[in-house]
Amino acid sequence: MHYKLVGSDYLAQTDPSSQMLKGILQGCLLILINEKPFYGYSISQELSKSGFADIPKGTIYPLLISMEKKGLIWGKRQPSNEGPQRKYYYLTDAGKTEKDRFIDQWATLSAGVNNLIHKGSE
Amino acid sequence: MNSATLITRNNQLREELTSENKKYYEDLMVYIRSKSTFKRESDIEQILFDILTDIIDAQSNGQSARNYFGHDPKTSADAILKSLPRSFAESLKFGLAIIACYVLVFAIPALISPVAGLDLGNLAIMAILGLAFALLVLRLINQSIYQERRAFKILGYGIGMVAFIIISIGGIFIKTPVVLHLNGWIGISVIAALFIFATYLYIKVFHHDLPATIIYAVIGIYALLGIGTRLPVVDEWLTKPLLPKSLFLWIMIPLCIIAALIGGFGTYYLLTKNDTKK
Repeated sequence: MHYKLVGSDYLAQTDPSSQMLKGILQGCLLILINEKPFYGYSISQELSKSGFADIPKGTIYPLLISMEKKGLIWGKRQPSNEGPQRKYYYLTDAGKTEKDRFIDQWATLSAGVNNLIHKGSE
Repeated sequence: MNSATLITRNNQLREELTSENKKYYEDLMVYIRSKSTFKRESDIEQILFDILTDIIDAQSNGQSARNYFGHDPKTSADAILKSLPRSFAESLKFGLAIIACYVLVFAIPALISPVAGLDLGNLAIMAILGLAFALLVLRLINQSIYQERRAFKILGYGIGMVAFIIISIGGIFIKTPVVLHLNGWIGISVIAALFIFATYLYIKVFHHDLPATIIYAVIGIYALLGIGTRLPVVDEWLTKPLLPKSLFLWIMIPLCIIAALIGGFGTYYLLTKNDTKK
């Protein structure tokens, strides 16, 4: 079965499911930025490649701002390959800890959910 | 980069957008700017600049702004605004700037006649009302951007205009006992000082852009008149009444409407911060 993370408004709403999605998206951003520094558009491209093509990228900006405010990432303006200066984001130590915590949580969560799904389809 | 550089770069880069993407981005930009009175300008301009460069990237990869940023820009814009902290210093700066402009624009004309005196109470009340009006205009512009229904848009313009007329007429008819008489050289010195302050604001804050130039020129004429009436020779032919009072009101109302229209479009224009010196 194929589950798709969709819905243009999901991430912006305040119901619990969207809070969950926001948390997941934040975890994904932490994993991405840990690999190498990214700026806005390059993050959205990586997300699209990873199967998050349907997420409106407008939702990434407030998330990046609040992650920076929480001290998980920090931004630095530097020249990019093409065009004007970009704000590249780097992971802080707190961000690395948060990323590890997210991966652990996700492993537990997805194992549990998968178990339930497979049990149901047997 | 500071805010001014970011705004200039933003103005230049925006020209690279296709007309459809430009409309999408400018709506987003004006929506965010008109709702960011109490936020730090540098925060706002940085995020706007980042979004613009990303939309340009998307455009060069064949993706439209709507497709990239999403079909619900208002929700994303509100989330961005919510994630940015409020700034007390910025709010104070905004308030003082509006009050200073109001006092300059109205105190200098009020000083034309040395006999009438300057009603400080009226000036204080009207400056505060002027500030409230400025906030109302920003709010109305903000509300109108993602407003689909025409009726609400028109209602918004209507509210803005009625508020402007009430404030303008109130400015003329509200009288308080706190009146300051500035005759002779004291009056001339006060007018000169206010005009120097206006010149400073005009050059340093408004960077002699077009709407400011018009207002500055009008203030300049009033300042000259005010100084003139305090000089004995010029006094005589300047103080003869030009129009009877009842006629004056009928001239004021259409003038107010025209001024309200100019003010509304002027504010929108300032929010897009187009570079007039290009």
